Amino acid sequence: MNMETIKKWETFSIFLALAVAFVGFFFKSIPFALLIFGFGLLVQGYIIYLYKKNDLLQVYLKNKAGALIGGILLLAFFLLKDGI
Amino acid sequence: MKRTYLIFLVLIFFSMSCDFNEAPEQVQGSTLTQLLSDPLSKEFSLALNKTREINALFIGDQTINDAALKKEFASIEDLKIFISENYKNPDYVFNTMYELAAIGQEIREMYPDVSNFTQSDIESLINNGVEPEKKSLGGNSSSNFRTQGECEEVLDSGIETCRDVALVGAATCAIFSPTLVGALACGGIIYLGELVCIDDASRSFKICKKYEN
Repeated sequence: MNMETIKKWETFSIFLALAVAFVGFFFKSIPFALLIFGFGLLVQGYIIYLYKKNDLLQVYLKNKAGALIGGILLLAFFLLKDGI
Repeated sequence: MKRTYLIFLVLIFFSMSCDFNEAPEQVQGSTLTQLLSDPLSKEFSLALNKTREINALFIGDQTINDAALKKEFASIEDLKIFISENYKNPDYVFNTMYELAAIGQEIREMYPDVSNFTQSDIESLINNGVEPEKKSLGGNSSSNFRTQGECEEVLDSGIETCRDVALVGAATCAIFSPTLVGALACGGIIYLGELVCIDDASRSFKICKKYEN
């Protein structure tokens, strides 16, 4: 299991994030979106497992910290934009 | 218009003699302006339209009618007698008036100054009562969508869903993206999706209003 495989799973994970939004926006179905979200969490778990297996957990956490900061900024934006 | 005004006065007097259990609410400022921005004004306009329907059922003498309408009815029985003597289908007229009196009472309790309304004030209500709802269609601000009605409820619900999904999407981007750049790019796509979703909801709202009218 090399880094290339992990990157493929990460790409798939991003597509799952977009699928959550697509299903929510165009089918107006939050339960279905949450179902995909749940599946995405399983994929994330598998990605973490792959990083750990390759002793790259520190790299994962470093990259993930940036993504989570971006996510917090995004959440703040979506929560505040209607109030401004 | 004069007849409508007189019937409105009767409704006000009549509602004053009824015992409704709504708690009074004091409102400051221009009563007419506040009432025009209140969804109650739409009910009020519809109520006044109903009085026109009642006018068509009038069979009594106009002079006696005008005099009677200006006086305050002491009891419901007095009003019933007056209606039975001067209107066709008196039960329907009475029930309609009773229903309108309930709305009149609600207006009177929320806006005590309504008893002092002039004919021009009432005309403003008739002309503008439903307008604020139509005007809200022109703006693109989300606050403009906050109006009452079946279509408006669907629109509010649609916009609410779009916002909820955008939040879920933003959280998903944070969790599922491996890097900061990926999360932000994903967030950008979510934002575009939200705009399309809201646009779709407002388009559905316009179609709904067309069918409603």
